[in-house]
Amino acid sequence: MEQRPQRASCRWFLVWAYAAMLFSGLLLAGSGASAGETLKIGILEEPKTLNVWRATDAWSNKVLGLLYQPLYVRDPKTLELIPWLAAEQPFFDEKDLSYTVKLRPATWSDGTELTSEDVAFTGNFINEFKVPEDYSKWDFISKIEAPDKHTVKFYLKEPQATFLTRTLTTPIVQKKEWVDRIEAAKKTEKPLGTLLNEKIDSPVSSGPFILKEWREGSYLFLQKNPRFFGTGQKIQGRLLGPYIDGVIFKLFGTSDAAILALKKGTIDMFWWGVQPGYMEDLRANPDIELFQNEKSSLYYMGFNVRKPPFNDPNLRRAIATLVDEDFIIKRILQGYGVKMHSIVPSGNAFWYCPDVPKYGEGLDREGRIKKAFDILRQAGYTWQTAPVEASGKVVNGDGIRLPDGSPMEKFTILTPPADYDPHRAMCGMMMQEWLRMLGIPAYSKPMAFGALLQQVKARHEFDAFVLGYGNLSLDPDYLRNFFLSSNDKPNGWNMSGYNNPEFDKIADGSAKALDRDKRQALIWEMQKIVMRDVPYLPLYNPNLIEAVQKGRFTGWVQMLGGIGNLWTFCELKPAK
Amino acid sequence: MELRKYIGRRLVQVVIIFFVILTVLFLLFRLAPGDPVSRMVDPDMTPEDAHRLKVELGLDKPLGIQYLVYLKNFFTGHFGYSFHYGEPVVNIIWSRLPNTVLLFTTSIILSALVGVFLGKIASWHKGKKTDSILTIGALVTHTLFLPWLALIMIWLFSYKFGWFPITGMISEDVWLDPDSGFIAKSLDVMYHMVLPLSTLFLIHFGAYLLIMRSSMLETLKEDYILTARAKGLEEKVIRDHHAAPNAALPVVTSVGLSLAFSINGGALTETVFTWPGIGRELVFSVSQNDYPLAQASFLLIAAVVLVSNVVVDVLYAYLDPRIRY
Amino acid sequence: MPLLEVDNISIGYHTRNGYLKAVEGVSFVLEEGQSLGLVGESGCGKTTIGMALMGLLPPNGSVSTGRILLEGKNILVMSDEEKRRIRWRKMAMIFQAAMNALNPVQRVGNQIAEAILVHNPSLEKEAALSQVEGLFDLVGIPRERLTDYPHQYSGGMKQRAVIAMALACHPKVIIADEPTTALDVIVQDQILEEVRALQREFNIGIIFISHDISIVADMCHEIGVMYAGQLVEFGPWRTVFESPAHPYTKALLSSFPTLTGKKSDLVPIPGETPNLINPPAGCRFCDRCPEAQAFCKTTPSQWVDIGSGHKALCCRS
Repeated sequence: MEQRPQRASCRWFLVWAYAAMLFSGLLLAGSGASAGETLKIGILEEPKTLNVWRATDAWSNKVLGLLYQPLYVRDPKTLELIPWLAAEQPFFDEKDLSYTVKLRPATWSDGTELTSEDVAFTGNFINEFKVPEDYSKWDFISKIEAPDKHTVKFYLKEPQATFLTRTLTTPIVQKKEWVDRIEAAKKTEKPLGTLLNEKIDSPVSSGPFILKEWREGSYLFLQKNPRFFGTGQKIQGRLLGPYIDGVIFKLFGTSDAAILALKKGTIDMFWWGVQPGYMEDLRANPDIELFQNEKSSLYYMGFNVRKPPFNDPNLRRAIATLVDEDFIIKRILQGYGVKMHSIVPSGNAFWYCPDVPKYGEGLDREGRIKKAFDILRQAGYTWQTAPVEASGKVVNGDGIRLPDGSPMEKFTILTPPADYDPHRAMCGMMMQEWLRMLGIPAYSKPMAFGALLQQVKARHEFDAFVLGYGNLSLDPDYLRNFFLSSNDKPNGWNMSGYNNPEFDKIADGSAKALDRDKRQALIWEMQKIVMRDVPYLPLYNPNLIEAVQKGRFTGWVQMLGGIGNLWTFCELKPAK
Repeated sequence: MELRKYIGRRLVQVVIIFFVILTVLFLLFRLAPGDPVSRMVDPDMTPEDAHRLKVELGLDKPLGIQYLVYLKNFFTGHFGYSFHYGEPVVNIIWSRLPNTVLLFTTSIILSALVGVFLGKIASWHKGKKTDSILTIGALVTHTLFLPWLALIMIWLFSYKFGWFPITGMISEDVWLDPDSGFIAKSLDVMYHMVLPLSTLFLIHFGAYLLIMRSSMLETLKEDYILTARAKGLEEKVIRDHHAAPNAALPVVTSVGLSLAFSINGGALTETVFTWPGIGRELVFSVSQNDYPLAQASFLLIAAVVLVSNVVVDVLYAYLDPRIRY
Repeated sequence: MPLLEVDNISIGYHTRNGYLKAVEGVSFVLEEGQSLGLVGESGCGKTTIGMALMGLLPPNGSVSTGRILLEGKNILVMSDEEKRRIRWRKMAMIFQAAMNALNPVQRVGNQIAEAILVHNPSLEKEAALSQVEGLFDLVGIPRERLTDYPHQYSGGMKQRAVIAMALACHPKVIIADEPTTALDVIVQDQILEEVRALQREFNIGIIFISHDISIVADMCHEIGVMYAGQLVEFGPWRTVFESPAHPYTKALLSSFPTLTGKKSDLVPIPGETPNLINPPAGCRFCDRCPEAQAFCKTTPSQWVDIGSGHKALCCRS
């Protein structure tokens, strides 16, 4: 009779043994590299891929940015383009619309020389395969020549303002690493798909660090690249290292855990924005150093200007007047952000037009309502109960009618759900309240992100929405993309359906303006037009707050977009 | 013979149900709003780029063709490439699954063993202090909110006391050290497993305790317990050899199904503890419309659940001689 | 010294509705090799007596007064451990097999061997199992069925196994509680025949508990008729059958045309048994008694000795 329980426990043992077997399989792979003086960085998501052509997520790009290098990078202070793999500024020949770029001596991580062949190969490859996300930066190039090892010549089909800022900031890959893969891919049914599905385990790179080990689900270890071309060089007055032996990206499932690890000293840096909720605690902690920087980002409310009621710019202007940006910054962002007056963030100083209409600026709640009321009343809107009485007293408006006399239908403001982004969801709620004071029947509605994009971007079935770009390119060409009438198509970038021939003309001019100052004037003009018509209403630009261990490393470089930039990794030194 | 026939019949059922699930899954994901490409909101991506990407992913094809591709991928055991990782789905699943199995299977077995043991004790002391303490303890821990408990555990034992690593499954210090051998690495994983395991254990043992306790109380009313007592057996023998094996039968079903579902892990647990398991991937793949990965993960769960249902039934027959098929 | 003497025991249960007096003032004596039948409707207290004898009353039940003397020793004052030791060794029980008297997940042989081993700790398991084989021979179960599980047995075989189990430690007393109730008539006869034979062979005293008076009559030297917790008539079986003194016994017997004729369940007697939480002051049967008179209701009934061991608890006898 003692047999039975034994038999049962024997079963359990078998199951457990099975688990143990799986477990030991896991441990078979070994590794070997010493960590030395390494910077440990907490990240919240694993890089999806180290295939530079597939990577679209922020986390892959954080790692890839340290591996693959472009010809030109941005100066952290001025945001000017400065030569990186290139030796000097490009030479433009107006006659044949060509740019000549001289290369700096540089080596790939496998020891071979980085030459003009590699640069030409990268461009030709993108054009041949129409690599998504990069093709639009290269499709206007008709030919790339490599007259000698250190010279590349790009021939353009037409003048293109973004050639310097976007095309020449594309990371360069090694011909040797990719050429065989490309040949093999061409023989498959879907060459591009095959290449995008290529798994890159040990990328051949030219950056300050090289990939040593990627333990999926746990960490990535990058080692100092002994062949980095920048080592010992002075670029923009900065003597480059790297001065640290390596970088470890350590994965954390939640911000809570990552911040605990930072406080505990398990990691030296948390490469993600710290939410305002953690600030008080971190600020009081003597071991933590905080950096606050502006971001190149845009959070805005978009209107569907294809149909009533938002086809009327007066209504959009009235709403712009109602929106209290100070409130959003102070209450929703808890002070960690800057107001946005234009589509271009103010931190992008050269392109940002300071001279755009600023609706309701300086007015208090009541003042805004009165001003918005005036705008609407003059445009022919009527109310059953006007929000502002003859005596000037502000009440809750009701029964608003459009200039044509028809009642304003209820409409929804679509926002991402609060668990995706509490700020945007909260903004939607505030907008609803502010609009209702004026008797405008607005309803804020959180919607799953995928569904929201489907409604807004693919189907154009919406009234208004709140969306944002967390990492906007430093080149303002997006301004053109967002509002060009030809981009008003399913899945196109003109989600509002803004259609203004005057704007289109200036925008096209800006894309072809090779002179920076001329282009600046056009870009400013475009901002003025957009802010006059308000198809997008910029709401806020949050600051990026990053936290590091105090006293472990020095030399953090702050720039637009935070301390996690190439310069920091080239200049960071262990503290004594 | 009978049993073999029974298993055969059940397996046929399993295959049929599996194909229904296979099809329903396909439709469910396609009917859900959004698609993997339209999520890529980078302004660098033109509509033409997006379309090209859709073609590469095969999403431009009519549903019927997509379904056939899906079936082909299934039968060739390939399951396609993940839209986001660009890696064969099989590779992703195989790299994550063992971690999930290790943590969750161990936790279920541990909580079941302890739950059964404590449930036995609670029922034996029914109405007394021991019973109240155990029952209330089980109810309280079982109803705790897992992420909350997990954070408390991390904060207390990792951050305050510093006894355990904050999260993760391995520590880079050990794994990057060329001197670390198999044992050192295994110990490292076990060390990292203590907190997540304890958390899962605290949440789950209560359920088994309560099942065992009530099942045991029912069993103690049975006549053969009276017989055992009449025979002059010691109380401990009656409890452990007569009541407990009978009472543990419902726990077997519960454990069997929990084990099956454990392969989908717990996205929350895995996230809070940064455990590189399949649960997080699953949630992520659904939210990112990564159809191939999500489909394969769900199919895996369906298959395991279906098969383990059969296994539990057969095991039941093995444990309870009354049941014959 | 009688083998077993039950002296004026009363047993009660603490229930949610109050203290239930399940058995009141029952006395009888069982001699070695004799058999005594306790008969009555369900709920009359006969099984409670059996459980009290085995010391297996549920936690809410207890013997409030009286003594149970087994070979002259009052088992009611023994410690739990002492009681556990005499259980099965001195006094065993044949349970009703249709109820799960056998553990469904253990082999039958092991269950019987377990009883032997617990009282002979020095014995090897193999030795115990070979003893079980002997017992199987005795009750007529093929030896190879030793390793079967209870569900593989037929009803009759299960009952035989239960009997074998009761015999395992050669007890002096066996309490048989409805041992054949769920069996069909032919098997029932076989089993009863076997019990009788074994009783003779091993000189065992048997207390036979049943609701079926004809079975009890078949088996027993003496019969006690119970009603509502009381013994209402007691005597040698022939006397009780031929000249029942208590109206309840008469009613019971009237449902059986002949002693050897067709057996059937009791024909219900009109009316209900009294509430045992607040039993009536007078005769407990008087509400259903065809011969009841006014004083029966108020005067507690008295034992009337009819002679040659036959007595009844009725004022009218």
